Amino acid sequence: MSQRLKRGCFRDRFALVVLGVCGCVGPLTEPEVPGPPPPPSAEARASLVFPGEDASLAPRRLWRLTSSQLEAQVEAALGTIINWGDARLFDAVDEAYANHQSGMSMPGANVHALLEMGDRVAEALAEDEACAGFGCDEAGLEVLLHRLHRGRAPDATIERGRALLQRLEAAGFPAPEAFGRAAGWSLGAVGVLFRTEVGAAPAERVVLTPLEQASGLAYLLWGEGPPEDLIRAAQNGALDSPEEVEAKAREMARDPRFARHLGRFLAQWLGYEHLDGATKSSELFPFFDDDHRRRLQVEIDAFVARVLEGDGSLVTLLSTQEGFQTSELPETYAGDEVEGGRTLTRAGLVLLPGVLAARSGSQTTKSMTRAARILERLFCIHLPEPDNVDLSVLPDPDEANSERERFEVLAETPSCSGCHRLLNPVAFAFERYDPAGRYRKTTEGEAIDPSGELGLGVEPVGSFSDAVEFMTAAASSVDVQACFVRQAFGFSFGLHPGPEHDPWMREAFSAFEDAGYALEELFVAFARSNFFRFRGRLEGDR
Amino acid sequence: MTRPLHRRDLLRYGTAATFLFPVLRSRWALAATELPRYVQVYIPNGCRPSQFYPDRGRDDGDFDLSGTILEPLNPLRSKTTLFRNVFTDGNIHGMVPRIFTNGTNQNGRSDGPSLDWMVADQLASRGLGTPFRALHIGVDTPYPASGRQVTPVRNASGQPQPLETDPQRVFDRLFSDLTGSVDARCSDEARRGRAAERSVLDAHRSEISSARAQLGLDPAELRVLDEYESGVRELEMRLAPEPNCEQDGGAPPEIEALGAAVRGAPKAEHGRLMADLIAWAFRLDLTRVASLNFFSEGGDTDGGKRRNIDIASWFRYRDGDYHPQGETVDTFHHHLSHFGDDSREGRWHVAVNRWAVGAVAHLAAHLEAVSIGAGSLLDASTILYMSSGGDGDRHQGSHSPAVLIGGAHGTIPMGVYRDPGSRVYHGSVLRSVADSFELPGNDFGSNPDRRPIQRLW
Repeated sequence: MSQRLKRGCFRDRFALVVLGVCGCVGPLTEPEVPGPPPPPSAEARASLVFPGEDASLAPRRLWRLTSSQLEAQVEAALGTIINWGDARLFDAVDEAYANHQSGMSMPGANVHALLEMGDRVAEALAEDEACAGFGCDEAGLEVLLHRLHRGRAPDATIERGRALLQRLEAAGFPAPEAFGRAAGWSLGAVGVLFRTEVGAAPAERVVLTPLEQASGLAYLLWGEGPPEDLIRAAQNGALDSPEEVEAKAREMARDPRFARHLGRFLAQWLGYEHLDGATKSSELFPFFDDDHRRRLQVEIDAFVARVLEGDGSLVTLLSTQEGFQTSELPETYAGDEVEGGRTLTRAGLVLLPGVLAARSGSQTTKSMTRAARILERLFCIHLPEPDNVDLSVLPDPDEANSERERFEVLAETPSCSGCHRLLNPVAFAFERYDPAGRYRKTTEGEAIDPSGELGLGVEPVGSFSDAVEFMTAAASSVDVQACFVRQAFGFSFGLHPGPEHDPWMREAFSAFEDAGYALEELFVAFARSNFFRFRGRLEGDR
Repeated sequence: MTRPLHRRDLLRYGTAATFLFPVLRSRWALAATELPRYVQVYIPNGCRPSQFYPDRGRDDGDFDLSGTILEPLNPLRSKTTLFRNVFTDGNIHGMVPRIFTNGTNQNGRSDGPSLDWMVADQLASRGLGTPFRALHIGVDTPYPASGRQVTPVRNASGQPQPLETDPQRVFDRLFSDLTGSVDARCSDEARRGRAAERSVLDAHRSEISSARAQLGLDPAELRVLDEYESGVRELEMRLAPEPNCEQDGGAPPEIEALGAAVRGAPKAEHGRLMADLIAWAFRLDLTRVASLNFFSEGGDTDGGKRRNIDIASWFRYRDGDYHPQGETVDTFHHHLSHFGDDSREGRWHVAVNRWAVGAVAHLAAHLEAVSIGAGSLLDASTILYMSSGGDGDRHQGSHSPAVLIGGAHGTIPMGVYRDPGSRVYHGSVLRSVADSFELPGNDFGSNPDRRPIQRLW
């Protein structure tokens, strides 16, 4: 069994309850009791989806910033926008998120990129006689270093910066250029490039210092470094207690920066961060140009903002039929059915045309890839890539009139059925949306049958007539809600959630459920947890 | 043990030498100029098999590359061997970390070094080092090529290595102290630039050392800083050497002309210029290992931003080839691979890949024109061209290309077009090339069959 399926089946407990593949699951009550079983309690539901009991704390002290975070940190510290061009660190994308620490390293390729980023900073400052207000001297460089270090730079780093500035000036660089090059170097200072969480006095469970918690809160809720007022608040004792940390988290979740950070998470979660690079056949989709991509992105952003301004709930985000910009995107919504303010052929973020188009092919929907991604992102079901399989059973695309006709055979082929009995119903449901995300009822002159059944999980989606019914049922399913918690947890803490994280996720899921699945409450719950405030004791702790 | 020749010696005495290539003698006992060279070439996103492989001539020695993407290699087909049905396993857009390595992981990570890294290590371990360990070249690869989808070059830890994408920087690194005037090399501006580069890298290294001592990190986290420090050191080794400020370089006029050509050269010239730079580096024994990587594999965005993707800004198409007055190819290499042969994008794809193969053919022709004893420098070289798969639209690993050009030290018959009839995994090809360099045993990829391709004869 491949690593991915092993990992998926081990971690995702509800995946073990695979009704569609393995047969029926017995009722939760005694078999003799007639009628449908009573729904599990909220606590039981949380335990079903996060059953692990052994809680462990994050084993890290070094968290490398993503390229975007580093750019934001530098721009905030300098108070100026930098033209980064193509200079960019490589962020290892693990599963969906470009911040999983297991891959966040600094090999030669990234050091090279870091130097390029430093050159961009130097270029930006070279013509500025005031050096962005820092004064082009050692004192100014020290101030800049403190800002970049999110509070306080080590003395040794400051000395090193001063020495570098002196060497550059001695080499004959004029003051702004020397300062710019020294500022460019500072991007690579360990305390800038990495968040360091050394913590307070060593113990079995090490509590982070207030400054470290301030930094942690800023990255957890905003995805960027802490502003000066938050640093000052931490230094003045405003984050000394868990209650204060929670109150601050709640305040930060109401800031527009949280909505932007949430938007970045959602884009990575559902893969529409790739919309900017999505290209379509100019013959089949002549309207799909840069302007069209921009309007699709505008629609997505407005859709998410509308949900956050309303009940802010995950269920609404995934199932609402309001907020689709049918007037602004007439070529896209020409085939849709609209009644009142509702678009009857759409439901939720996943069925927005931009989201659908972002990961579809240039000419085809790539239906199975699309289905695999939905199972992975919404249900946390990881299916392995087909490996060393005989594709001769698969009809050529030119010979089949529909994706259903082409792939139905695989649900009955022994080496393929395990995956395709899950993939096929999802893929066929979404075939009503073409590679550009437009709604359609036919393809190649044949009617598209989007009906199907997905019978796995604690609360199965069950039978559906189309993708709208599918998404409406999925949004209310504990499997999807729990998977969302798992995805958000992994993104927020830069890791692969495993059984050892179940207690933290169970705790957060309960709070999330109690709050009506309000997205902001989930992130506040993360900030409130001991997983955020503490780290595990490590070899080398002094 | 052979001492690497100094560059100035080679310029003074030329590269002519009696060349003996005894098959029975270990190749590491050869004189420096005779030692084998290795180039690995990567053109991503599959190869479009219908336009790549000739229809006729399989297994009968009489094949013709005319009309195919490989057409630029036709004049050298007697020194080219082509395999039709090599198989790369897994998602083709995840092949970059694995295509030349012994690694098996996807998602941007590889377990081990790429073949070019291993060959360079082998040379160094035998005391046969050169002034430059290897050249890692990128032609129209985006930014410094730090991404997993761009650089197949992996170090001993499997980490991606940066590619040099600016021909001028490559030239300066190789030849700055041999070309031009003392005034230009040793001007105040030039000195300042070199001083700044060294000072910044030096400051990075001491910062990392200091952080390590201060933070008292867990061994797993120390590895992160160790890798950071290694990365800095690797870049320090790539800095252009301090030039000679006492006398003019005395380089051959061809190198001076190359220096003039690289200055501000348009992208359309980069392929051939990089090929010439590699060839001259081989001729002067400045290095014996190079990798030549084109464009970018798969994915068109990074971190939500569209990358400054290959070819879209500069490739011009007319009548099946690049033409400076042709129509703009206004999209990405990956995108082109997803169209049929009879589409506009499909025709562009053929032309772009043929342009890249043209650069490889230019390199091979340059090496062929350099006589070494009874043979040529091409005879003493092995050029290996591979891609991530065959049909890039369907992401199929079958019919992936494996093209060998040069002598391969007589271990692989050349001038052959072979279809093995059943799957030959790409690891088998790597195994054969590794064997020809007497590399210690390595398992390449996750291939179930790692036998060398020589079993096909």
